[in-house]
Amino acid sequence: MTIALSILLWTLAFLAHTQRQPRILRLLGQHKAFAPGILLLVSILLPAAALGACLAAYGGVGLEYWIGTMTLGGVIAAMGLTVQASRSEHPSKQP
Amino acid sequence: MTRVATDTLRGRMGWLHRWVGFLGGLVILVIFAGGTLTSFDTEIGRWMQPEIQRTTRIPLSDTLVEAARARVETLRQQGQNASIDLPTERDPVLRIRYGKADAAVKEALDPETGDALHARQTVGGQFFYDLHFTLDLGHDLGRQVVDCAGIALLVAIGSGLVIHLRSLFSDLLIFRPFAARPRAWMDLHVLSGILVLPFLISTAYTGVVAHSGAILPDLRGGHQPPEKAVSYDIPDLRPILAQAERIYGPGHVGSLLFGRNGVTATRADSATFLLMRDEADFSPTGELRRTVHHGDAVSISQQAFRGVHFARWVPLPLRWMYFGSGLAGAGLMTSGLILFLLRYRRTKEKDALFAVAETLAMTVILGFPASALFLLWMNRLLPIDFPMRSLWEWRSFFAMAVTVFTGALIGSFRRKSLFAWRGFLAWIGCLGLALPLLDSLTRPGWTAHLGANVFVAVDVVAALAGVAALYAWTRLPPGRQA
Repeated sequence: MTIALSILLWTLAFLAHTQRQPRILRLLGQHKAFAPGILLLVSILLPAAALGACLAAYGGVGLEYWIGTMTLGGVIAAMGLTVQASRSEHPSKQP
Repeated sequence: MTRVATDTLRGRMGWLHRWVGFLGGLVILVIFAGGTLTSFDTEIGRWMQPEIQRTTRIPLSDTLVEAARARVETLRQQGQNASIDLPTERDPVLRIRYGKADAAVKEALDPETGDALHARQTVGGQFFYDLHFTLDLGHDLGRQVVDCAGIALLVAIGSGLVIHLRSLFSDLLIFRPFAARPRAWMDLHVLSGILVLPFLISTAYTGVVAHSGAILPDLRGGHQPPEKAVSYDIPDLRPILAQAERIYGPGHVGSLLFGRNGVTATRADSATFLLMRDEADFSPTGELRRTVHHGDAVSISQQAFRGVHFARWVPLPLRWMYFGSGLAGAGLMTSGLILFLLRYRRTKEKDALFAVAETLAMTVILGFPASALFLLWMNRLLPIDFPMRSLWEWRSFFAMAVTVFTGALIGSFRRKSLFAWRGFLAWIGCLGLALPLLDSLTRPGWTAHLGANVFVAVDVVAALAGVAALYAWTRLPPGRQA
C-alpha cells in the first residue's frame, strides 16, 4: 500500500514538474503553464510526503523504497507524457 | 573557432564521457546486467533445479539436521571441506556445500525426510553472481577489473551529469521514441540515467568500496597464523543450532561451517540491513566458545555499504525495484553504446576500428541476453545425469557469446552489421518467447505450480525479454543501420 502510494505521489510530482517546463509544454501542444507556483509547490511537497510515508512504514530502509518508487513513478509519468506528446504531434491519433 | 567551442568544461567532459563511457561501458554493461540478474540469483538457481519444488520454508526437523550432519561427516572423511547452508525464505531447502569455491556443489536435502533430492547439477544463479563479481577472470584479476570498471562508471556518471546539467530539470522525462534515431536514443539515455541516478551512484560507489581491497593494498598487517587443526567428529548439531538461534534470532542462522578445530554458526546475510557476517564459534563437543561481532565504526560502515550493494536483506517488492533499476541502468548503458556508434557511423563507417567498436558493442548488447537465455535452455536440454553438467552449462554460455561475437565481427567487417543486429535480435526473441514452453515441457509437475512462483517469474521475464527483442527487430527494418 505504501509502495503504491509512494509511486502515485512521485508520478504526480513528476507530472507537476513537467507542466512547468516550457519545452515540455511545447511538445504537448500547450502554451502556458497553469498556476506555476502551485505546481512548484506540488512537485516539492509530494516527494516529501512520499518520503515521510516510506520512512513511517519501513523505518530507515524506507529511503531505498523512496528511491525505487521514484524510478517507477518517473517511468509511469514519462510513458504518460510520451503518449500525450505523440497525440498532440499527430492530431489524427486523437480519439 | 572549433577550439574555443570545444575547450570548455562541458566539451572536455563530453569527450571524457564519450570515451570512458564507451570503452568502460563494454565491460560495465556485462557487470551491470550480471548484477541485475544476481538480484534474483537464488530464484534463478531454483528455476535451474526444477526437481526441487518446495516453495515455503518449514521448521528444521531433527531428522533433517541429523541427515545433514551425517552427510557432512561422510564428505569430510572423503577429504571434502563441507558446510551447511540452512533454509531461507528464498531457498527453502537445506543445502550441503562442498568443492572449490568457484565450482561448489550444493546438494539439497528434503526438509521433511532428510533424503538427498537428487536435483541436477547446475551453475545456478551463482553463475551470474560470479560474472558480476569477477567477470569469470579469476578471483584477483577479476575483482581488479570489476573495481576499475566501477570507477569508470562513476567517472562516466560524473561527466554525464556535467554535460546534461543545464537541461537536467527542464528536459526531465522528455522521451520522443518516434523522433530521429539519435534524438530518440539520447532521450532514452538521459531519461534512464536520471531516473536511476541514485541507484546507479549508490550501487557503483558501494560496489567499488566493498571491493576496494582488490585494487588498494591491505594495510592491516599480515595474516593470522592458522589455528592448530584438531581431529574431531561432527557433534550433534541441534544444540548448536538452538544456541545460535538464541544469539541471532529464530531463522536468522545462515550457515554452519566446519573448521579445523570446531563448528562456526554464522548470522544469515538476510537477517539485517547491515551485512554483518557475525559468527558464533563452538568447540568440537558443541560448547559455545565465543561470539564474534564486528561492531566498530569502520566495520559498520563496511556492513552498510555491503548491505546496500548485496541487497540480501531486501524483501520481494524492493528486490523487484533493484531488478527494475538494474534493467533501466542496462538500458542507459546500451543507449550510450549505440549513441557512440551513431556518432561515428557517418564519418568512420569504413574504418576497421569502427568495425571493431561495432563488433564489441553488438557482442555485449546482444551477446549477454542471448547467452543468458541460451544457458537457461541448456540447463533444461542437457540430460540430468550428463557428466560434468555444470561445466557444460558454463561452456554453453560462453559458446553463445563467442557465436554472437563471430557473427558481429563478420557482419561489421563485411559492412552488413544490420543483418547481424537483426539476426541476433530475432534469435533472442525466439529464445525468450519459447522459454515458458520449454519450462512447461521439461519441468516435472509444472501444472501443480501455476501460481506466482520462481518458475513463472523467470518464464515471464524471459518472454518479456523476447518481446522487447522482437520489438527492436521490427524497429530496425532491412535497409536501415542501427
